Amino acid sequence: MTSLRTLAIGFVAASLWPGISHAAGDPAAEVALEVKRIATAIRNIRANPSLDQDDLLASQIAFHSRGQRFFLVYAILRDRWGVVVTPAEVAAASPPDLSAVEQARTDVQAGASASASGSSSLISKGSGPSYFAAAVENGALVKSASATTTTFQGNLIGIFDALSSQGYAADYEDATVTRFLRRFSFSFTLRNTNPDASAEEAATEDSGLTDTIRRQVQQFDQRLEEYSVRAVVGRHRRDPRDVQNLTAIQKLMATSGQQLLEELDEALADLASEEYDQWVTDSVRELKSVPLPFLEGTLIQRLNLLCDLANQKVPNFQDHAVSAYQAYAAFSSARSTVLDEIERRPLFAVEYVNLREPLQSDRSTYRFIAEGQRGRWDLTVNAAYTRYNNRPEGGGSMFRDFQIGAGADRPLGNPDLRGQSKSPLANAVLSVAFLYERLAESATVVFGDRTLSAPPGHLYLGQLRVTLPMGTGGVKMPLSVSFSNRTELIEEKQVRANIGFTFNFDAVAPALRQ
Amino acid sequence: MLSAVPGKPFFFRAPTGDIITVVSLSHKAGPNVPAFRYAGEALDLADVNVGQGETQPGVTFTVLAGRKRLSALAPFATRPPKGEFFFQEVVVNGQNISLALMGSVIPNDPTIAWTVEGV
Repeated sequence: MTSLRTLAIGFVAASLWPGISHAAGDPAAEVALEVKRIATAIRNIRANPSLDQDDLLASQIAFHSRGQRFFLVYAILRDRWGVVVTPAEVAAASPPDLSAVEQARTDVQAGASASASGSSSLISKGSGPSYFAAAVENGALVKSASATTTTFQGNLIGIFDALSSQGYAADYEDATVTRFLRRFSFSFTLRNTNPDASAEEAATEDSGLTDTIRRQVQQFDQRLEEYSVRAVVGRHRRDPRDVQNLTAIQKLMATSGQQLLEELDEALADLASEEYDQWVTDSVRELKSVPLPFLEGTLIQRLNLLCDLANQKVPNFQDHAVSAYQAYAAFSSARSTVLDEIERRPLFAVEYVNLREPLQSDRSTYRFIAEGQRGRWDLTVNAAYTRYNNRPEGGGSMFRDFQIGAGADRPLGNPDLRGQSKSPLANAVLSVAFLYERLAESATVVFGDRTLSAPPGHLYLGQLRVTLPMGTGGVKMPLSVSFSNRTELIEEKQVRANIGFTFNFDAVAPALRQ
Repeated sequence: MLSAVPGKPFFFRAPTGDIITVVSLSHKAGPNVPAFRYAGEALDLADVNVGQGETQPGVTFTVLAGRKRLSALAPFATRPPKGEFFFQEVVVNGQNISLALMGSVIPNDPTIAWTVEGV
């Protein structure tokens, strides 16, 4: 019996999603989850008696108006293939993972730049997180001395968005200034060990709040290795509000969107009748009074009666229901294609990085970043110029180095499974990168507690990296191996391994907003 | 103007021949480009004055006699889909413009429909 049922569900899935059935979920599981959600909402309404309790209950089951797709799938499963969801399946249903799509992104860099003493990214990406991100990374790429660093990265407007609890009156159209500021992201990288630990110990003898605050500011200052500001420049072609993208979305809504509404009209318009109104009234009465342990069963029973009513009121209801569901799948697929196109558009950004090292003048790096997509590869090109903020002792040149690099990132696994929580491999990302650095004669590096002259010349670095998602909470683990002909200080071939943990709040933000 | 009918969710009455305007608002849900249908016909989207110098995308239709279906679809064109779309009737009373909430949709259920009975 179970195998027949599984076969039926598989056949339903293949029929409802022609060509993309492997990417779709289990329709019976989706229905069970929605029954569970509605039952939970009804329980909450019953737990908080109010004058409009009947209206609130009615709005939960008004399937002519809301939950149309759910009702149509329920009716197809029940009437065409005899699959009826049981209360036990409703109890076992669990919600999908909303973070999976963010986990699959290849265009966001959560960690430090290649010049930090702990980094896993040879190339800087054009996009920052929408809200904020953090990364703990071990192992230098360009430097000779490795360390463990923690990087915090964010978008100022995005952080305000995440913290705000505005009412529905606040709409999507930002003010011009806000929209401009969304282009900017910032980061700061801290060394996990204080290079001036002796000073820190001496300072602990102070007491009082002011001293404590002063000491903490001082420690932060000592640990701060680099800070950066990055801005998208030119036309932001990946912003859905860009004219080209808006036109594509308008076209989507005028074609696939209207087709979906038309099919839903065909399937449900004739359901609106006196009999439907009576079904709503009777359902509210029953759902309000049934003992709570039998709520799911009663809801399923009322759904069965509504299916019978739809078959009676709507000519060829089953055919229209299947057409409407296929139109929904076609709309979702077309929207996905539009969003893919938007993500593929080229992006240009500039970045300023201020690197701070003890015993040495701070360094400023000015980096240009170009990013685009080709097939499933996210391609990035960097060009950077670094200079000392103050002229080195002895009056050398302010110029320190020039870098040029390129990287490519590709999600692994089946593209149709990308962004799905059931496919962790599809959300892993493979990256390859190459960086060339030309060190000037005046370049110096700090090693231990000494400032040393770096041999001028050419540095070539290659990197192979796999970024693995760790669960569904926005945490990823980048693992990389880098090869170089030398480091900035030592003229010997090097093979290094780097590891990190990154957390991107973007991945969990949608779940927190539910 | 639409009048909600007690006990009947998403059910409104209006005098036949009345002109009704409905707009949508995207709350952190991406581009505000909805699609509407009324009585089996697609409605053309236009910028609607909602007062205080603001406009929102919406549609205008004339109420027909009997029960007709008004439906809407929100795009949720962000990855991943997020936020909420609100649908409101624009009520103009002389110089005053106000908005009456008709319903909202979320990413898991981007479609909504109402029954409008012309009397």
